[in-house]
Amino acid sequence: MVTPPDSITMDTQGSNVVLQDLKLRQINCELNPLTRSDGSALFTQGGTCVLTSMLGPVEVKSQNLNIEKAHVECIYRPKAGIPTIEDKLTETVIRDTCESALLTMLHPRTAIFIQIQELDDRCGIEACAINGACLALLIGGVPMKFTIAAVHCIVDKDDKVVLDPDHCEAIGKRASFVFVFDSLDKNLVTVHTSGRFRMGQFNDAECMSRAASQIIFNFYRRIISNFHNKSLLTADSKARNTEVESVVKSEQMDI
Amino acid sequence: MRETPLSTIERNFITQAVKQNLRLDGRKNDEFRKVTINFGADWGSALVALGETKVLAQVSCELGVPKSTRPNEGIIYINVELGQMAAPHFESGRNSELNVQISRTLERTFKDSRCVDLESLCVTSEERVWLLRIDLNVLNHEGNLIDCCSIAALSALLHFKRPDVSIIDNDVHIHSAAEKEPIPMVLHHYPVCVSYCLFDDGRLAVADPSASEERTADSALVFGLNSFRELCCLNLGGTTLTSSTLLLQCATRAARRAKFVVDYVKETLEFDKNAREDNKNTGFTECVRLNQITALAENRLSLRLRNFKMQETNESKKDNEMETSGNEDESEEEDSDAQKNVVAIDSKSALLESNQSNIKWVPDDDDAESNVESMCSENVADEGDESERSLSQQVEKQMRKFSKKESKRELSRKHLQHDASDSEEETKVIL
Repeated sequence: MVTPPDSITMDTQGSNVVLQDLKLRQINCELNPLTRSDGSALFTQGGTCVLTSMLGPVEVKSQNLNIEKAHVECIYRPKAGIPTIEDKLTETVIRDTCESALLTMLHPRTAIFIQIQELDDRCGIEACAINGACLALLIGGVPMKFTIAAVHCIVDKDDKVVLDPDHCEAIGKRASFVFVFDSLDKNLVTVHTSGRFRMGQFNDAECMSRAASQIIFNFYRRIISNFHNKSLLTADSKARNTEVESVVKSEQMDI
Repeated sequence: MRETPLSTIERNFITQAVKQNLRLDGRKNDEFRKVTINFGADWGSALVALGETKVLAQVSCELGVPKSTRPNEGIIYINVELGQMAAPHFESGRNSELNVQISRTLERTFKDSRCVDLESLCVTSEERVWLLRIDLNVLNHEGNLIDCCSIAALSALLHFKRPDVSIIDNDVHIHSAAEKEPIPMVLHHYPVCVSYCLFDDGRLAVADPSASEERTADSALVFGLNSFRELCCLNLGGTTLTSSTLLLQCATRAARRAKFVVDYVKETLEFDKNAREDNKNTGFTECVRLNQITALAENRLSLRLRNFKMQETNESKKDNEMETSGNEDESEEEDSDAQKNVVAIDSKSALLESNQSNIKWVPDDDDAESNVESMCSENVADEGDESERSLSQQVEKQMRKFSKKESKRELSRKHLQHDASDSEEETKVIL
């Protein structure tokens, strides 16, 4: 099925949130920008931008073959130079996170590939990559147990916990956290931390991230329903696309 | 994953259509796809789309030791990455034949033509020079990767700024962008690649081939040209070219295309520079917000009807459904069926309207043939034009070399002469 490109802007700043300081940078997404993958998404959060694509379920190499579940693989490409050890670590974190969300036992003896390409890094690329990968998997149509939302937090130089900072705020950070939650019970799926922090700070960051993850889940719901409604409605009317978009842009999200 | 084989029926369809000056995406044989360039937030990052083919380029630099043979010149390294994102059958980390071909062609176009002023990259002779690295990540492969990569590399090079350095007590200090304004690159000339695919035993040339056309074609022809109509690289792969007139004619058209592309790159760079000066947000995020990145994908139908255009009527919904059924991943056979369907609807319900006054689905045969002939005569007629003649002479010399060496595959030479007399002298030396 040919699906038209899709773009929705949602200003999370304007949402009426009960908790204070619960602000994520502006989230924006373009679905299926690529034609050769089964599903792809261009996900941006603030100035950070990643392109994710997925392929699967497809044939698997014999050494990776598993008779009980699908083999999941993730490739992370930095935009300059060869992948470093740190990039390999990110790759593993993303793969394990996505594997826990996928219903891999439904497709034994197959492989699911996830590719992530960094476009612009303005802090929080790992969280951005996980969110983008989740959208690509949703568009690619592989069965999932739940959707996942990743939120990035730091402890800044004044020992304060900051939710989803931009690159200026992150200068001199003491620690950084990435929390990933599932959409069902908002349970923690993945935690990835670096730096030195106190347990209290960790708990604060987790609470803030859990509340903020709802913004991302609402965004998923909105963009996916919009995408599918639109592909039913329109075949190739660009004019109609822009009309729909302008309506969506003016809407505000309620939590 | 293995590449899906192209069936005989698909091949036959493409070759037959090309002979009638028809292509699946609605272009004529000599038409190119639209180029779109977006710049990232960092210096030296560009996302270039040629139709649906997309390439991300990033230029980076670090200090290093120069080659002992060239102690006062910087070094350029070009890396092409064909990952699974580009197409399912590519494997990252493995050097495929296509990968080597693209990087060699780009090296000849950018390094061997000496378009970058390497001496300006020298910090201290024999000790420290800038090592420039151009990373080309292919995001989507819909044919003609070489053209797309070359445009991406050129735009990224022109966009790139390296940090300023100062030497204090034999110690190199690299200034951040806040301390000292970064220095833009110095380029002597702006080369790009323009490729053609040859069909019908080298009698027909198809510009800017799509992925399926590339796989069907007899041979591929790549010109590396700059905006001064100078040839930097010529690559002929596949079976041998049979007509020299076709080569000359392609070269003339390629030169025109190269000029257009370079002008477009300059224009977008100027636009980006102004946006930065006005302190507007730049980068890919902004492009997504303005819906620029897929704006080129006006609709996702690879099948377009050139001679017919859709007419909006009450029944158009039914018609739209017909069109969406022409999935781009489906075989050409089905596509051809879809075309017939649409034509049939035309005769019954008149939903489709012809662009031309007389309705004809297949263009005149002599139209396709005259395509070749008129181009030849045009080339001869234009002999008076100095620049065009110098280009054709350059190509003729390449041809002579081809016949001399009697090699049938992948022959190329670099030519960088500013006028015809120079190139003649050099040919004498070589011959």
